[in-house]
Amino acid sequence: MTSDKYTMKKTVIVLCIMAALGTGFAARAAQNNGGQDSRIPFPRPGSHAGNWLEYHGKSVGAEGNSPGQPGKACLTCHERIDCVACHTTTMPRDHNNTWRMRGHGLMAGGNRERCLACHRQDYCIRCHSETAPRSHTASWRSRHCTWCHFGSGLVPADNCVVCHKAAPHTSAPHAVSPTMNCGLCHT
Amino acid sequence: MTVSRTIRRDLLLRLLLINAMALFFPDLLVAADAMPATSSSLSSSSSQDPSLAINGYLSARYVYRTAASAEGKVDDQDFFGDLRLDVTRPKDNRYEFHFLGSVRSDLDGNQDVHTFYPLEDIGDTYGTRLVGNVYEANVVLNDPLPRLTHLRIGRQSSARDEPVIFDGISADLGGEKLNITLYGGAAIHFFEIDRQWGDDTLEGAGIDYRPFPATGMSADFLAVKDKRTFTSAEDTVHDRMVSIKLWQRFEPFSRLTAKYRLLDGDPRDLSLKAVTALQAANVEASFNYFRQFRSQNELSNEFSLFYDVVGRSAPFQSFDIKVRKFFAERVAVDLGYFKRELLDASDEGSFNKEYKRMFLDVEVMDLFLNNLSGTILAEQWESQGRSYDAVGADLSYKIKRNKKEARVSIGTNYSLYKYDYYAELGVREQVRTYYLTGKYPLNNGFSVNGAYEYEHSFEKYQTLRLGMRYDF
Repeated sequence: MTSDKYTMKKTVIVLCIMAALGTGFAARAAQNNGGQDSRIPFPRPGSHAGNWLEYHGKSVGAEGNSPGQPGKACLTCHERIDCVACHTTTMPRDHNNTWRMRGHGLMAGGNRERCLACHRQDYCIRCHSETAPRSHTASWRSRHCTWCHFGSGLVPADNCVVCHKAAPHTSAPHAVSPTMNCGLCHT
Repeated sequence: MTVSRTIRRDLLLRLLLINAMALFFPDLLVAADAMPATSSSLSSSSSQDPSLAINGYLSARYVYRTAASAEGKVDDQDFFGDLRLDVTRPKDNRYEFHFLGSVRSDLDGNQDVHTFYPLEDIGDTYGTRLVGNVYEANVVLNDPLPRLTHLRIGRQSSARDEPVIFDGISADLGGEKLNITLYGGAAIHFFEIDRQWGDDTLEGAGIDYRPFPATGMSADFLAVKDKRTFTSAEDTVHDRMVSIKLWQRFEPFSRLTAKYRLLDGDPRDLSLKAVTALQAANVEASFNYFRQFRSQNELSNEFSLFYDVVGRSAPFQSFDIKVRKFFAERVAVDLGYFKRELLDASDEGSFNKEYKRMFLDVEVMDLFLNNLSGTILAEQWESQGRSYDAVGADLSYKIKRNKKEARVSIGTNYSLYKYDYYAELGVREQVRTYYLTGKYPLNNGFSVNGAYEYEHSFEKYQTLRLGMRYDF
């Protein structure tokens, strides 16, 4: 409970600091520009209509718009920091709960370059090292042999090696089939 | 348990109080801070230099999720906050300060990662409930010396070639025709386990040369040192990336880009991009080709294609074509095709796939009413003889209020997955999602937003998001 209280206190303190900072700076901003965002001088370009999110990455690359380079059309309205702000704090629309639980592995298998737009490897490692997958329930220990070594069984399933790099064994000494009772020989 | 509930209630009440204060009495908060007689450094600097411009936002959102499955029902509550500041001096533009930080807090306290929990996510993997990240916190000196156009000091991101975040210094030298960028410092990896500041470093340089207004070329070099303990044995990975890029603009709206990269002395990839807009026909089109020449194995965090998690990335090439046409400024049609193929078909496996994706997106603006738009999206994925189909529909109504946009959207998505899940059981899974979202601007830059989402699949998820944002 002490830890709970401590965490809550920290949360409230951080929130208050953020609120105070934001409000303080906002007050200054409001004094200077009446609360309006002075960075955007005109309405959004026509290209930003409709399904623009699907397109914007390609356009940024094709424009020669990498930050640091001269002649950047995007930077007429956007700040460099806008890219980081969106790619670190805003999730794409398809990243819902089903995606998180079941869909993201499929996508990572298909197009890792897309994941790389926001994620680095440390993100995957942290989650896969620290959270338990759906299959690892109470009876998992007795069931895991045929789950991991399906097919010929000589090589573990790809899904297992996502987390288990240094497993006690990484291949089965003989072919494995789901009908076998592993417990007869292996304790 | 009772104490914990009381604390939670207390926290929620405080949050609501802060938000309610901000939402309903913004003038109070602003006025209190804007008093000229206060001794705050902000106010004093204000009187010395009224030309200081401060933009940014403060956002806070509460997220409540539930998951119902055969095993029962669980829920999760989290809080997220973001603060962004861009401080500039428009008058002489000598200095800038940029800040972007976020916090998240697990409000319910369920961070047990030893048993499966359908709502677990990366926020549960930390030892504390409160986690914060600072993405940017840097001071920029503009034109501090002749030929030195920018000097940026502090935590910053560089997206010259690969997006990297580091604590250090970067400098831009030169001018319109020739620009040289130098940067380096301690590499920041936000999610690394047992990270220690300064263990990882990076340094890079880039040159941009524009011989003609419509022609440009760039060369980049980035070296990364990444110290890791992932496989229990301590290991340091060094990588060096060299990149060459050419681009050409054709009047009025066509551009071509070619980029070739080498990693550790070996060819890594080639990308070709073409974008064009035919104004008379109201058509925009883009074509992208990408080729990864060699297998990518273990690399530093900045360059890794997730080798430690999903294994080597086999060589492949991809084609990406997108066309959009506007009809009478009210109807936009997007058509897309993406194909990824492995250079050696025998490389195909769980995490190296060949696939095709096609999509059609039709948006009708001012449908029945002014500012009411309807969108229909259909897409199909094909891989290894299996397919994933999705259709979606969205209805959005936007109005202008206080020069800002108020919006309410309602929609649904339907997805059909057909894939092998662990034991090649050929799982067929249907996911139907319904959502309702909205945002509404209040006075003085405040806005409130909310969203409700229901996902009907193997589990039934419900997500409620309530937030506020203060743009200034």
